[in-house]
Amino acid sequence: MTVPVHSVVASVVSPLQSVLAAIPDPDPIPLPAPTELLTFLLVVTFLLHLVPMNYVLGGSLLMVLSYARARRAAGETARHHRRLIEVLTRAFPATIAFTITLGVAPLLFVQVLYGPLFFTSSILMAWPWLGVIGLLLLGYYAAYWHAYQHTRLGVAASWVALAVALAFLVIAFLFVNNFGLLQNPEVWRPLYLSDRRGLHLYAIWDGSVFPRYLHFVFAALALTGLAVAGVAAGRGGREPEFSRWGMGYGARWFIGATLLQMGSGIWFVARQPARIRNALLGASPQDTLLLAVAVGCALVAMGVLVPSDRISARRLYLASAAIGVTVILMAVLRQRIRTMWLDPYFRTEQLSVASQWGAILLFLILFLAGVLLVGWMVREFFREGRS
Amino acid sequence: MNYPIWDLPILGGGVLIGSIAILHVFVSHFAVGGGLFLVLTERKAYRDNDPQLLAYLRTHSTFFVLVVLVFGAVSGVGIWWSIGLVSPAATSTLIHVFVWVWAMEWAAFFTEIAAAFIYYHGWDRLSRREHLTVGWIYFGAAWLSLFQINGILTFMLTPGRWLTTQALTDAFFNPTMWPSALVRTAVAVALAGLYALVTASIASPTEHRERLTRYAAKWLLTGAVAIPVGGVWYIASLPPLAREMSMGGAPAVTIFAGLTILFSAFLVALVFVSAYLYPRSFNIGLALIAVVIGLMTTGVTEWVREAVRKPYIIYGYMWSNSIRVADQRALREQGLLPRAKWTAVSDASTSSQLQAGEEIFQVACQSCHTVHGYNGIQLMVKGWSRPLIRYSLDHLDELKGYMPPFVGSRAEREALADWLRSLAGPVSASATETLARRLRLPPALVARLPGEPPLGAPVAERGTP
Repeated sequence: MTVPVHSVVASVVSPLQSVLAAIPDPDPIPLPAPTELLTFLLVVTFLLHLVPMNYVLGGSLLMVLSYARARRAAGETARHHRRLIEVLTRAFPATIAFTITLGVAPLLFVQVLYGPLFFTSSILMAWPWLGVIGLLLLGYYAAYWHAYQHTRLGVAASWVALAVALAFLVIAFLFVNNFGLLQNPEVWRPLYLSDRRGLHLYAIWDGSVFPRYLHFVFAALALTGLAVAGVAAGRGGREPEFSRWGMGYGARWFIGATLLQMGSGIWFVARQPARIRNALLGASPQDTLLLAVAVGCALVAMGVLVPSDRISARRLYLASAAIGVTVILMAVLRQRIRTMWLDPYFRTEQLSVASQWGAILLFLILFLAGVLLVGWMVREFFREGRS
Repeated sequence: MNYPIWDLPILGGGVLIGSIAILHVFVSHFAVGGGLFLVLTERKAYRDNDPQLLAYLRTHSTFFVLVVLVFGAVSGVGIWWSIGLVSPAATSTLIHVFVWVWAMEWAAFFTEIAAAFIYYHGWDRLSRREHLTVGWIYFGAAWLSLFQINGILTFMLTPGRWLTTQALTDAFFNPTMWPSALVRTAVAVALAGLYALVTASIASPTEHRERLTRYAAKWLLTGAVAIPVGGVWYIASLPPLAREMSMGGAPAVTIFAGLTILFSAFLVALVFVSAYLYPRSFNIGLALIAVVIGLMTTGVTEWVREAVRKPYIIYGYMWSNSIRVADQRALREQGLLPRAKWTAVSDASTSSQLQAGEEIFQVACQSCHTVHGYNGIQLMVKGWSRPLIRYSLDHLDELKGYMPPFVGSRAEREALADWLRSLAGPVSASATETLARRLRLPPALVARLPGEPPLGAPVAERGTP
């Protein structure tokens, strides 16, 4: 039952009919909500997930970097980096918790909308996909360990920080793999028939996975840079020197990583199938516009923060707002690109729908109640004069 | 068969899901009960003006956060990962029926996580009243989350009227939903006491430790009293076949059901004597022994709960091999392979019999059986003659109540029988007779099945191309 690997490569492009035959039939139970609503919630909750996720990925990388710099640099710079490690590490337990919590919802909506694709791609890479859970436990506990013990750990602290960063880097890679594989049913059957043990790492077969992965990593670094600048700005009163340094350091990371981000973006677009590349570059006006506005906002955000040694809170707000628009548009564009990839094989609008309006309403009420309760708790926690 | 089947040798998918799920259950019920424990104990500490008790609670809340927020949350996600990999069709069904219940559970989940953080970091930042309120918010959200997941879990065993109405309310408020919610709530209270015994056992000074130990033991004993009440109600609400299986119908299931009672009774006795009556002698070693017994109890109980659902994964709707009951007739007529999307061969009559047989095994049997490992089929058919294998395939559901019927075409049945025969080794008369006795078939009947040499005679390998 084993097929040699080279024949897998040869058969990667199969005729449409046989590709369609391999896609699992949609569930006979209709979708419990209109596809537009589910897609909307998918994109919105994915955006919510991105906020802490970017911090976890980018922050753990910056922390490792700060360890390296603190060791090599002298005097003031080293002190600032050590201070930055303090600031970064404290937020990890909560941000990891919310990365997971806010990640549950988009994964739920992916499964209901794209179940036949998602379950299949996950099974093809079952072991690496299951590895996400182990790595998450490892990275999470290591982050706690680092947050509470790094002063006592001495030199070992930097290794713990490295373990955290590596765990999340690999997790991100596995996610990009799965969601790349999900939208490319052409390769499924040959991969599966070559080996059924769930060991496939798809990135090897598709040139668009690596740039997509880098696109996420650079985004995380850029947004964490901005967050660092923001946190540093808030410390102007108590630690003016660190504040000034941190704003500049964060802004430089933001600008540098955003430039890299654009490079990986160009690479990503170049690696798309021709029909998608063309759509993004003019053939589909609305997608081209989305892309152009998103890139434009990123340029504005970068421009606002140059020169990076004289950052004000106002300029930070402006840059955050502009890059916020970019992130939102990019999440929408990501969904559009997925739809385009899948267009020949799978269209969510063809799924049957029997909406459970009562349950949808109840969800909205509970969601609102949850947001209000969390809002109240957070407000009480951070109320003026409490430390 | 709609989805590719993850080939998980030796271990099998069930063991994978089970090992993640048991650990999760053991922690997630603590996440609920432990919340109630924290908030009620905190209130007691304020009322009694007891700074020692408050100091203990702070330590206990660190332990709580490390266990619940990290392991509890990640292992919960882990169950989701593993069921999607092992039983995608059933997972898809559940998601389609319950996506909004899960979405509601998500709302409870993020409230719960936020409350846990604020409770943990808020000992000095919030007023007593606010801190208690945050604790109650935590417990309310955590219990709501249990309640919602409980509705989905019980649906799998007792979908009740949903089978005809397809209505979400029927699916959620199914026949075992309430009794199971009661049992799980009681288990949560008991586990809160069990985990508290661990932190209590290392508290100091001695008098304080004794007091705490006895207090924690009360929690466990209170939960333990309520469990049987809900348990009897739960068992009374089970489908007759499931009840029968746990009470003698299927020996392994009955043994495990017995172990559940035995372990629980032992745990209660141990805690009552060592922690409640003689708290002075209680120590961390005993606490850890109690935790291990608690984990074993959780393990066997969850195993029984899963086992009694057989031969279904969703009772009356989907067989345990992910084949829908409604598709059965069509599959019997057209065969499994032509409709299976992920097999290398699509027709048993034109392909190599053994290859077809192996593919059919993957599609129809592998969700419960491995070849050589857990629930391994090779050992099960060892020494079986082909007629016996063939006869079993015709009567799977009658011979073994916990197995679904074989639903492939005639040619597929032959191909599967050939492949199984190729695993079975030399025919052993005693194996066949033992089995015939166990299945309550007269050995003569087995011998008289047509087309095969009599029992005990050497049988040439058949069907090898």
